[in-house]
Amino acid sequence: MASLADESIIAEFVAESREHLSVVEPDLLAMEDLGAKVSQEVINRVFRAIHSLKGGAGFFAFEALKRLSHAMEGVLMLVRDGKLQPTPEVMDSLFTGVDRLRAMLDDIQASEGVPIAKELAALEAILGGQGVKVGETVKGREKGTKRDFDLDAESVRSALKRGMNLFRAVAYLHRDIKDQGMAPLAFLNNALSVGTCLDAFIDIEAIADLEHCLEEDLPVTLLFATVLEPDLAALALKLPAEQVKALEVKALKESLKAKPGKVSEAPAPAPEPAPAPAEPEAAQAEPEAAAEGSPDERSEAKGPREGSKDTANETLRVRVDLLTNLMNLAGELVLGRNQLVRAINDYRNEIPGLGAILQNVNQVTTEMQEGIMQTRMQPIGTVFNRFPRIIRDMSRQLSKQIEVQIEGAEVELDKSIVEMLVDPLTHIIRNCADHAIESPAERKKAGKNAVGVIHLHAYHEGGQINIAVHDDGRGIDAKKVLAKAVSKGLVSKAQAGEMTEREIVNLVFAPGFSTAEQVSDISGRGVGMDVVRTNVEKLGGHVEVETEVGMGTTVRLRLPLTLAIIPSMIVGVGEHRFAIPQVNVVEFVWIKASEVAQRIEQVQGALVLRLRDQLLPLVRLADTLGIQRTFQDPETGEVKEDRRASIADRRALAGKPPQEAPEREGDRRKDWRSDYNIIVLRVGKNQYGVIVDELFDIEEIVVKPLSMFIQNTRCFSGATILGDGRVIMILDAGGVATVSQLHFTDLQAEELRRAEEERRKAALKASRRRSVILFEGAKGERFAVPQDHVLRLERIVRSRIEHIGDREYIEYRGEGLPLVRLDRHLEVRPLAQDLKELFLVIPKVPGQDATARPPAGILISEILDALDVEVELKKVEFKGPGLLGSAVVQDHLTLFLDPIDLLRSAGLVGGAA
Amino acid sequence: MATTNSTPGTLRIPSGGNLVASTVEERRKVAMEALATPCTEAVLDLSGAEVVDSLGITLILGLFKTCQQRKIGFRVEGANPDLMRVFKLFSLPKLFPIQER
Repeated sequence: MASLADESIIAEFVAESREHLSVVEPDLLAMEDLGAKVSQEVINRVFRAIHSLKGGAGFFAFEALKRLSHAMEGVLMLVRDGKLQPTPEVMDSLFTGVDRLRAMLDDIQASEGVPIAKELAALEAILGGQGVKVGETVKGREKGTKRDFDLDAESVRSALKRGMNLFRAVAYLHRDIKDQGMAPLAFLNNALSVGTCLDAFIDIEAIADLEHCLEEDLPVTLLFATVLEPDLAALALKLPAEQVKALEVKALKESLKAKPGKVSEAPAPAPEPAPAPAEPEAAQAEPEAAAEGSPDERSEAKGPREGSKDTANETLRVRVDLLTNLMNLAGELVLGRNQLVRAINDYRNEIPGLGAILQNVNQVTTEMQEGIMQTRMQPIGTVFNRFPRIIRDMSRQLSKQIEVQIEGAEVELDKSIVEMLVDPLTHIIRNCADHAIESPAERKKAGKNAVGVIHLHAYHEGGQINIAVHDDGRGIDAKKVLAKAVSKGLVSKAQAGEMTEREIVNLVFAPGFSTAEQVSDISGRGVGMDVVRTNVEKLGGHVEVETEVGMGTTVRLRLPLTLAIIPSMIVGVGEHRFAIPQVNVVEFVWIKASEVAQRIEQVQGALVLRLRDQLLPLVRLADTLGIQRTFQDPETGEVKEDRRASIADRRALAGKPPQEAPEREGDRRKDWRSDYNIIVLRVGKNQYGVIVDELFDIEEIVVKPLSMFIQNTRCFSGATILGDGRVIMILDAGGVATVSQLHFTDLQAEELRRAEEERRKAALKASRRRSVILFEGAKGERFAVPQDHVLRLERIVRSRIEHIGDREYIEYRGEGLPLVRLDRHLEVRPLAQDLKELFLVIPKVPGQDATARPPAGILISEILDALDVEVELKKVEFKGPGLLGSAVVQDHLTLFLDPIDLLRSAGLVGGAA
Repeated sequence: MATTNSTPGTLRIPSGGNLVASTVEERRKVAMEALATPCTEAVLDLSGAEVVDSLGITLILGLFKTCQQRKIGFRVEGANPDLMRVFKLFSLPKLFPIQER
């Protein structure tokens, strides 16, 4: 490697190369899918990427990298020229080549140790099959050996002193000078018009002798000083951007210090020239064709250079550690701002203008912090885009047909989160392909399309990012999962019997769980989904599974947008303060001390809060974290230990109205200090309440990682520093729920049970609701008959009653209407004899027309009311015809009658008595 | 391009005009033939050349390499100021002596 090759330049090369490869893979997939129909643009894009990588590798003397990319470039060139079809064999060689290149880039300094013989052999076999020797295709481009610039250190110092940037520019005598219509002198004059050439040399290693010398395109390497920025320097020199590299001034200065008299700067081997529309030979062989290319083709060929001009002003490559440092500084600034605001907030009114200044500082700090956070955001597509390739390989290996669909690739997440998502998502995707998606034959048999689909979808929801991986495969069979879990001893048989389907499906996240019949290269070792959950939870996220047998499975990851600075609710328990990320907070519920007994109850031994028809499991944060619970004595104000075992077990019994609970002087139930502050938290789809002593403000907190000694504490996700300088822990909502052993599924079952009970009660209530006529027989004896059983109520004069034998009649609408006295059929008292006016209840016979002659009238003393009542009839001790039961109506015991039954008993209506 | 041996062991190779794309191939062949003559030093005479383009420079360097391989000396004479400037900027005088016209 070059003597002064700065590590940062190599790191930049590696980063650039990785970017090139990330672009290459989708294009290779397109080449494979479209075969000969693939557009030249796609092939050229791949070619350019590999070519650039090769150029850099040559420049830094990474020989293995160069050799492999060189062979790949040769194959790509044949494809581009239509001399080779992108067959599966060809594409395999390119894909595996990309894999090896990536492996070498992962540890560039050890890249020579990465075995590439197999990949090279495959590529060479393809090239050999086309009658091309490796190296032949790119003849003239592989030259270059080390050589240092040799110049006066003073001139370098002078250039640096004048604020110039230093560049290593490489111009090829043919391509960059002759072919551009310039003489060397014109090229140099042009260069010297925009800067100073501190040194230059021609690399003549490529020339063997006079016989073939004219075929070689020799690189001229210049150490060039100019005030121009890199992108403009390349333009000014009329060279491709890749051939103009900025030198790190710091390294130069150090070099100057080390060797005051002389600078030996930079590895001289020339970088590869910019991708050209054609190889030198092709250009020479077909000069006219090249010249006559369509404007589009020409512009495409110039792509990289023009592209750099277009994008140079829009993007800038910045080292991640710089951004991380900026992020940390922004975090410190936010902390400082919080402390400042807290410290001088009390002086707002005393110092004129202070309020506005604080507001300004506040706003600018927030905007700056958001802006810096934005610089770290990366589209999730950087992870998603690797899956089509993985699935391609797996499909072949598994003899399955699988299509990957990507939606929401543009959704952005913090870089650190994106990086940590790679493993979990890869596990999920591999599981989908291996376990979930069936073989084509199975799918057809099940009436499905032979091609299985894995759908990756990223979207925003409630301040979080959701990533859903859905497959249309066989789904998760809860029975199989349970059987496997029992056989592996993950759950006992007793536990198995009590598990809900949801709990069973969630066993896939248990360590060591796998339903795969065989352990394969791909999966089946049972480490995947456990890793998924662990990694996602480490990110402050949550993972859940939904599945339907035969239809497919969705694994959903809910993640925070960023991990660095988050708005959080500060809460207090005893003397302690904790931060709860606002993204987990749903709402606050304040329960008055006097209402606790009605609002909080116990279900299967666990505290629950009834909140808008929902049962919310409750956690006392003090108990979960092992903090002594305290309360403030209402009389003395003294803080004492709270020894009550359960809120729901307080002196007032759950379900009883407050007035039934005994009260006494100084009762804590009446004191506001005994009110309960409950924060409702969201963990995935579930919610639960956390009881805390105090609620403070919402603050933007800077997340600091936990010390390694407490990293395994599940309740905390980090620490932060408050405005008052106090260090507090950040609660992990998921961890608190886990440590508190909350059983959401139990509550869901309880909710369902209660809902069913409510429905049943409502139905019963509806059945009990009735409209009645309330009347009095003997004085003080009340009766009720259903209104729909009454045809008419009539007032009569007692003197009009006629007697025939034992029976009584009254003339009613020109006919004799039989009268019925209640005391003759029921064990009730007779009507008072002194009443001059009486009333008749004329029953309505079911099925009889309203104009038909009524069968009889029941004599009563007074009509009291017509009303709707909801009553539950109780059996009466005595029996009698038509007696439905009794109930208390308007605070009086009332007998409910069925009048038709009564008349039937009296023989006045037909039918069984 | 004619070649002469004015000094014993020295092979003078005149440029025969400009060394540009249209002439270099012919000059290369002539130089090849000239170098078939045993000598201890080869001198390229650029006094007849006003312009040397990229291919011309490549030819000069090819000549130099051949001489180097054959372990014979090589130098350039008669370069005009413009050519001299180019040669200097490309550090050619570090490879072989170049004499300005």
